[in-house]
Amino acid sequence: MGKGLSFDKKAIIIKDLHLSIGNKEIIKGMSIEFPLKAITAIIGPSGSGKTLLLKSINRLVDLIPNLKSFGEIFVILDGEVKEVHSLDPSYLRRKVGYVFQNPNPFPHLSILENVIIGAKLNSLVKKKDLVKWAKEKLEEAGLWEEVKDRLKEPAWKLSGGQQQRLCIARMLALKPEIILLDEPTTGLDIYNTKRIEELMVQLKENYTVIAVTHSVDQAARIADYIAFLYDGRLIEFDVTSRILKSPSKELTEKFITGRVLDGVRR
Amino acid sequence: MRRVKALFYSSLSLLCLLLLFIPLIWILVEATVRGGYYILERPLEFFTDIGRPPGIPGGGIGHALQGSLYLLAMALLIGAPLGTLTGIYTAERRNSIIAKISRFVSDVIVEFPTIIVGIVAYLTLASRITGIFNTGPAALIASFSLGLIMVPITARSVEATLISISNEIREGAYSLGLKDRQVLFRILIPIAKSGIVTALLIGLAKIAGESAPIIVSNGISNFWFSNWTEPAASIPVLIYVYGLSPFNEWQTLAWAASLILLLLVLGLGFLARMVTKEVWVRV
Repeated sequence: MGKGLSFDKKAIIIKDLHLSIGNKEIIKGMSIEFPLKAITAIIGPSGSGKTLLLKSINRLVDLIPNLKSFGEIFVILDGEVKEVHSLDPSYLRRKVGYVFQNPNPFPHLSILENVIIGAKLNSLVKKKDLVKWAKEKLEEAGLWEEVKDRLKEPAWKLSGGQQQRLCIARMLALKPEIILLDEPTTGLDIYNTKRIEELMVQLKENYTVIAVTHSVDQAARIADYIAFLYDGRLIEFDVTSRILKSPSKELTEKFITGRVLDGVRR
Repeated sequence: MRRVKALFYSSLSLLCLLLLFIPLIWILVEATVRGGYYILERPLEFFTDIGRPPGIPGGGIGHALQGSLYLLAMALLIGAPLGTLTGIYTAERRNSIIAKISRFVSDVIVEFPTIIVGIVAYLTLASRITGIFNTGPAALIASFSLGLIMVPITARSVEATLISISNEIREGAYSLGLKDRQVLFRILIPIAKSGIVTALLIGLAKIAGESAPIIVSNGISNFWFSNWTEPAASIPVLIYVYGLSPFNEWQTLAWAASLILLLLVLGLGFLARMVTKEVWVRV
């Protein structure tokens, strides 16, 4: 599988992805290669297909009714090239972690239980090691010091920024190799935004990180690469500095300088 | 002008609220005045004894309380799993044909005259000519009818509770690699737990006061519960029979039983509200 593809320093290769919901085509033929152990930011106006592209990689799009998609998505997991549609979605989603736009901890579970539930139900960690595992992941997500004395409290008692870091810990507890983040700092204050941005930069040492962001500034601060999407197509993909300083497409330049309104012209 | 308008409409809605309360309070007062005193006079006899023959003072509704308890417990046993599972199915496979049909049927049956459910249950299960069990009028058939009556109302409330869980929670669960079964039983149902309990309480409150389906499927009994294949006594039927009788003693018992039934249904309603409140705090 994936014959003829060069995976040199790549983690994900998407070939000619199309995706439509009902009769509306949202992703109109997209091919992208995401570099290994780097942060790639996906930018573009709303409606350009950023989130659906992200959710295609771990097949969360399968949950959307009336959705049709075709094209191939190859990922390297456990050292092998795999096409996502041939994988068990449960395995795929464990290996390709996802953090949502709004923090979504499980309201009926405590802070501790939220972190370990995925690892526990997927039997990834021995039962007696779960608490230790949770501590490790909360530390990795930079939340341990704030919650170490309140692990039994319900997760909804945490602040928005803490909840988001809890969701990151919950995702890390699954031992993923690729991490997808969908505008993870939306609605957070500057302090929490900064914490999560620092965290993302730390994460790229061990994981391939792809982050959708609404802010070009954020992309400039954290990303090694930027993919600019517009109206369901990839317009430009390059290292961050080149996209920001000398984009090769006029549309890219217009977007990063704020001259394309947020919203696709239809 | 705006303040006058606001005052006018808020007074109007307050008035409507009062109008709504009048019958409720009226019935409560009436039942208390006409029957409540009897409970206070002979509490032990009222709750533990059976009705006396006409003309002989005293007696109680113990047999009806016991019968209602049996009937409702069995109805819950039949209706709760059916209603809950239907609700879960229509919520989680909400776009499937089966879910759409089930939703439509639920909405129709909810408005169905409950006596029809009783008659259908009697004819298909109990009737000596066409029925499956050939029991004749029997407590089991009444429970079955009551169970069926609570299914649609329970199913719709369970469905509403599950649907109210945000999609991001559902997606979050799937994003952890959980399987359908785990998402349902480890995440969604525990979150919706209080809502499901509320749904069952609402269903129970609906059937607690039903008399028609019991009369047509179980008949009338004035004795202690003996067997599932025999008629059982129940509070609503006792109220119906004693209330229509010309005997003062029976009418007093009917009023007192009405008071108990009202308090029971109100209690279930309050309980449901309390459990619901907890849901809103948590989600």
